[in-house]
Amino acid sequence: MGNSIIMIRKKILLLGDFAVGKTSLIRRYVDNAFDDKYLTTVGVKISRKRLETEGEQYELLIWDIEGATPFKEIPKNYYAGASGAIVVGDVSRNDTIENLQKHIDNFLSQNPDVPYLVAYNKTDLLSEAQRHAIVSSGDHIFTSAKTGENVPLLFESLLERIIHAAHSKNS
Amino acid sequence: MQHIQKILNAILSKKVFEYLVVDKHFVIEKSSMGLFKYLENAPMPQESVFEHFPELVGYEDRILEVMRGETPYFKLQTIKKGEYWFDIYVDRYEEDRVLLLLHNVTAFTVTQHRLLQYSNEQTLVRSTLEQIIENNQMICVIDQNNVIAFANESFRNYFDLDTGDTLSTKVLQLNEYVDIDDFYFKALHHGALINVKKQYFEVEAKPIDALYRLFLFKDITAVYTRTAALEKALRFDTLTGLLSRRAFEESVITLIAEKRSFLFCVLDLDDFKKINDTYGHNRGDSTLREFGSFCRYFFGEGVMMGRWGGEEFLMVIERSRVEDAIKTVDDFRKRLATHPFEENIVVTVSIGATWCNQNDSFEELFLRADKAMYRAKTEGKNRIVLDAPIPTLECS
Ligand SMILES: Nc1nc2c(ncn2[C@@H]2O[C@H](COP(=O)(O)OP(=O)(O)OP(=O)(O)O)[C@@H](O)[C@H]2O)c(=O)[nH]1
Ligand SMILES: [Mg+2]
Repeated sequence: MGNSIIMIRKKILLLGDFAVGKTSLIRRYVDNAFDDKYLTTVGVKISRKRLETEGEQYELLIWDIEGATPFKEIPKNYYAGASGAIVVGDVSRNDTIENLQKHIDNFLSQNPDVPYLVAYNKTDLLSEAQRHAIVSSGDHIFTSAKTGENVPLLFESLLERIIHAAHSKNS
Repeated sequence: MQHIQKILNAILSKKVFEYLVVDKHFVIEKSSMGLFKYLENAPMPQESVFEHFPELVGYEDRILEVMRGETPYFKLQTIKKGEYWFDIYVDRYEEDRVLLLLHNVTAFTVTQHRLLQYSNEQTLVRSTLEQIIENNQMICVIDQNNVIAFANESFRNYFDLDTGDTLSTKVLQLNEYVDIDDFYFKALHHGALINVKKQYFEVEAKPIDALYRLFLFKDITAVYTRTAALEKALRFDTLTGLLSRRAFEESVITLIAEKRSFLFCVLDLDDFKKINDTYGHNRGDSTLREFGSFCRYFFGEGVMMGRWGGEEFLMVIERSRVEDAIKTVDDFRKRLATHPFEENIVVTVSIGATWCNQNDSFEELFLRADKAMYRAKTEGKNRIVLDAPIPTLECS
């Protein structure tokens, strides 16, 4: 509206078990900050991040969703209209890694063919040998919200996939 | 429409709802006055609703469906805006418009948040504990009566203990810690070392609450045996296998502190220089080695012997009567003189002895015995000389 620059808004979700570091990854990416203290997220909070890629202006609308617990369902309509998702596991808690596939399946059931990435977070807690020992399938990025390792790469790679998914759909 | 407006006014008067009206281009037509309290910038007419509610990006199709009356309202739950949480309802409002109702659910959500925080933290603590448990460390928790309330599998298997047993019965009775509190205190502050079934454990303790105490057993057998070997190397003279000078002195100081009765002797091999000169240094060393074995063979564990340096040795022999001690040492001297060393070398020894009095220091004992040893040398070698006549040396 009166603005010559067209801002392309993309909704992306952060999914995963509670306390895997979803909020921390967003905080690192958006504010470049980190806090050791754990404050759980209830409901949803959206953060915005603008970036320019391939000559276009994007605004990522990052949905920080309350983590999954065995006691409460995450409302499925949070997933609607998402352009992509980051599914997060905590490398220091095996069950959160085992649950990754469940979160991926949930997401894809609402958004078939929408790109997603897996973040193995808290890698600062691992030795190099332990890192190699993690067997995984599909696409994943090792991240640490604490040190900042691979955090921008995580979000930028997802956006790249989103853009390519949109292109291949249009052509 | 009058009708809806009335209901709306009634709801809004309760101040838990705010609203916006949005047209089919997602442009804000009007909004309630109270909204500015919650949003950074109050929404103005003609602005895009997505500017103020990016939460709605992705729901464009559904908003249009509601607008056309194809689906009933939809709702987004627990959306945080600033310091508040809202449930956002999207409902039809006249043709080509939707009503966005914002229900402030902050009070309710804050309570929910507290519960969730508590429950998540508890789950984390539990999973951390499970990790420790799976980590192969041995763990047990005891109550105030020293009864095991919890023990993980590796603990139960290794010590053959189960819940209901007391920790002291099987594990600690084998050790120097008699009292569980004593053991706990040590483990709490420095980590206690215990030896069970040939394995060494470093034990750490932590209070859980007023009643329970947690013990972690870490197997350090490998490290400990290495350290023990090192200590042994420092404790013993490598050539003779007798105690080193330092270890001997420390042991004597302990005996003095414990007020024990013993005979203290300085021994010097006779004419050792001759052996070195006649047969060479190697023979000298092997003679010393053989002398060490002879002493250890003759006395066994009963007598403490150390090498002071060169061919000079120290000995402590604990007896309640001086005569008995003297007799044992003299028997040793006689047997030594008849023992054939390699190449039939004959080794004799001159011994100076003194009885330990109350308040003696190591230095005083040494000086007295050393003087007596010189007398033994000047009086013709291969003999034992006591620094004072026996009757004055009676002890209790
Ligand atoms: N060492 C380390 N700790 C991290 C990392 N990321 C997050 N944490 C810590 O893990 C805890 C949980 O982080 P959050 O970001 O709140 O996790 P979440 O996934 O948002 O949790 P919920 O909102 O409850 O689902 C916090 O104490 C963080 O400080 C990381 O990369 N390394
Ligand atoms: Mg969070």
